[in-house]
Amino acid sequence: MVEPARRIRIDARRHHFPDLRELYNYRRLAFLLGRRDITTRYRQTVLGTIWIFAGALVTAGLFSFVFGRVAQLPSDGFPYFVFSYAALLAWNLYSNVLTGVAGCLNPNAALITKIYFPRLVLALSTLASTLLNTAISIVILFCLLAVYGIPVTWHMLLLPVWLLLALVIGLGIGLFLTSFSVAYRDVNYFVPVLTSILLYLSPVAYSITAVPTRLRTLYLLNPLATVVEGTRWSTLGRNYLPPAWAIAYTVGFAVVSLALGLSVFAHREEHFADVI
Amino acid sequence: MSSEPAVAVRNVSKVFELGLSGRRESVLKIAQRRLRHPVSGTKPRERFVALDDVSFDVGHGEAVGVIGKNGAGKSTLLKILSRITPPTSGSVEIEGHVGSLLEVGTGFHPELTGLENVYLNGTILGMSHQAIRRRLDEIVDFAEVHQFMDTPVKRYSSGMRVRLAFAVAAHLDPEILIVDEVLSVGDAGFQAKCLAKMKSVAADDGRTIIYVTHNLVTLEHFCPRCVLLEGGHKVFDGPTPEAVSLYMASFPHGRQGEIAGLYDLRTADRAGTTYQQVYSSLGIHPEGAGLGENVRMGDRLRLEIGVDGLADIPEPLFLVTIHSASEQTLFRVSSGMVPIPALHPRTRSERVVIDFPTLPLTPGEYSIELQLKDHARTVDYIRRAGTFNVVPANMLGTGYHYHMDDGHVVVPWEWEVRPETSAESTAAAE
Repeated sequence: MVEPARRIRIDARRHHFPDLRELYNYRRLAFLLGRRDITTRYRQTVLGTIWIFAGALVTAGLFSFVFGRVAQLPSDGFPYFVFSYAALLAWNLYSNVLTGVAGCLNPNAALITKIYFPRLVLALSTLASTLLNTAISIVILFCLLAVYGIPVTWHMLLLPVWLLLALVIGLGIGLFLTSFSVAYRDVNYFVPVLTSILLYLSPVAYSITAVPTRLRTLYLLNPLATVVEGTRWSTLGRNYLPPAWAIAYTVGFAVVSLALGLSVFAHREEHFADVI
Repeated sequence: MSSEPAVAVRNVSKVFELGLSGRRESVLKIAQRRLRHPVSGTKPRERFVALDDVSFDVGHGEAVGVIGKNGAGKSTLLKILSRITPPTSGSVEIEGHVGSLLEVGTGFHPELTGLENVYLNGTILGMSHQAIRRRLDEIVDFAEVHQFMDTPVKRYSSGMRVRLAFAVAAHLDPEILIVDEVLSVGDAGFQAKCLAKMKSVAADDGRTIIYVTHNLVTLEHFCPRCVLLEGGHKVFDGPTPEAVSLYMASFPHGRQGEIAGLYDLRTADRAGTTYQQVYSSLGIHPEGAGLGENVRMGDRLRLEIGVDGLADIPEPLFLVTIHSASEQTLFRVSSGMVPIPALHPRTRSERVVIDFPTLPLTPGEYSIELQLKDHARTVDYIRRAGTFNVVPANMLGTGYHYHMDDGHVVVPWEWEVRPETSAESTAAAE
C-alpha cells in the first residue's frame, strides 16, 4: 500500500479504536489473505468447492432425521429439512465468523512477529471464506424453496438485515475473544464450547414456538434467537416474527459487541507480537 | 525532503515482563498462592530490559548499521522501528514510507504458486498491486524461476524458495529500508547477486537504510556510520571502522567469569582410555588480542598447550585436531607429520606451542581435540579441550562474505583465463 509520504510516531500510547483509514489502505492485503484461505483450503481436494455447502446440507439432513423424525419436534407446518436449513443459514454465518475471527491470530504468528500491518486485517480476511460459504448457501436455499414449492414473499427483502446482524454479532464477539487468544490459549477451547451451547439455546433445530411462553422473554435475551427466527420469517414467509423489543435489543447487542470488540482489539493489538 | 531526520529515535526503552508468554500460571496456582499469602500474593514479574534509553537520528539518504552481540537489543530495536512492537517508553518519529525486511519470505504459503506468493508477499511487505505487476518480470528474472511460476512453492527446492523470496524483497522500493541480516541466504552465487543488488539499492540517493547485522564485512560496504549496542545501551555511535573495533574489543572479556580462551584441562572431561593426565591447560591466542576465543579469519593463531610429566613417556606423539561445530574433522596436525624440535631435555611442566600463521577457517565455531599417544597406546585424550570462534574478516581482499555453504576451509587460489591452444581445441571438438 503506497501511502503518501507522512510522519508516523511510534510510542507507548495505546489506542482505543482501530485506525479505519489505515485499515482501508490495507484492504488489498485483507483480500489476498482471504483468497489465500479459500484457495489453499480447497486446493488438492477432488470435490473442491462442493465441500463448502456439503456441510450445511448434511447438518440439515441430520437435524431432520434426529429432531424431525425421531424426536418429532414441530416445524410449524414446514418441511423439516428446509425449516432447519433456513435457520442454519444464519447460524452458520454467525458461528463461522466467530470461529474464524477468534482463531485468526495464532496461526499467523509468523506474520505478526515479522511485519507491521493492522492486525485487524487478519480478522477481516477470515470473513472471505465465510461470505463465499453463505452466498452458496443462499443459492441452495432458493433451490430448496422452489423444490418444496414455498413462495418467496416480500419478507425476503429483510434477509440481508438478519444476515448482517449474525455477521456483526459474530465479528464483535470474535474480536473480543481473539484479543485474548494470544495471551490465553484457553480461547481456542472456549469457542467450540460456547458455540455448541448456543446452538441448542437458539431455535435452529426446533421452533421458538416450542419454547414455553413464560420463558420466551428470557429465551430472547439470546440475540441469536431473534436472528435465526428472523431469517426463517424472511426466507419461509412465515408469520412468526420476534417482538419489536427483541429486534431492537438484538440490533443494540450487535452494535455494542462490535464496538467493544474493535476497541478491545485496538487496545491489545500492539502487544500481540510480544506475547504470541 | 525536509531538514528533519528521516528517523528520530528518542529515549526508547523496552522492558519485557518475563513469563508473559509461554508457561503461564494456571488459575489454580494463582488462587493457591493468594490464599497462602493474602497480602503479598501478587508476585512481581521478572523484568528484562531489552533496550535502555536509546536515542539517535538517521538523516534522509543516510545508511546506518546497528551492531552488537546477541541480546544487545538489536532485534528489539528493529521491531520497534518496524512497528511490530511498541516501546515501553520513548518515541520514534519516522518520515517517509518504511519497508522492513526482518526475514525473507514472510507469509510465503507452500500451497500457493510462485506467482500467487509473489503477489501475497509483495503486498505483505507493503508494495501496491500496480508496483508488483510492473516489477514482476524483474522479480522473476532475478529469482531465476521462470518455468516454475505456476508451481506450488511446496514443490520448490529450498534454494528456489529463498531466491524468489529475496527477489520480492529486493524490489521493494521504500524510502526507508530496515533490514535484518537477510543477506545471508542462498548459495554463494546468489549471495553475491544479493550483495550487488543491495549495493545498488543502498547507492540510490535519498534512500535511508538501517541495517542490523553480525556480518562486519558487508556492513563496511553499506554503512559509513554505525550504532553499537551493548546490553540494551547505545555505547557508540559514529564511523563504522571505530564501531567495529570497539565491537571486536568487547569480545575477549570472557564469559561466566572465566578467562575466555584459557582452559584448565586438569579437570577436563577425559575419555575412558586416558592412561595418564598429561595435558594441563590450553590457551588460545589470536593475533594482537592477547588471549581470547575470537579469531579473525586469516589471522595468526597460537595455541599454547600446557603439559605435565612428559618425561614419563618414552616416545610421545602429539595429535591436535580441529573439528567443526557439526563435529566434522577438518584437519589435524601431529608430531608424527612434523616432529617437534627440541622436545628434550624435559622439565616437569612444559608448554607446547602451535603457531598457525594464517588460520584458514571460515566464520563459525570450532573445537580443539587433544590426543597424546605413545606407540599404539593412547596416553591422554580430551575431545573438547577448548573452542574458539572465527569472526569474519576481509581475508580474500574482495569483501566477499563467507557463508555456511562455502565450507569451513579457505585455500589460496588463482583464477586465470588462457587462450586455448589449437591442439587442445581440436581435442575438445572431437
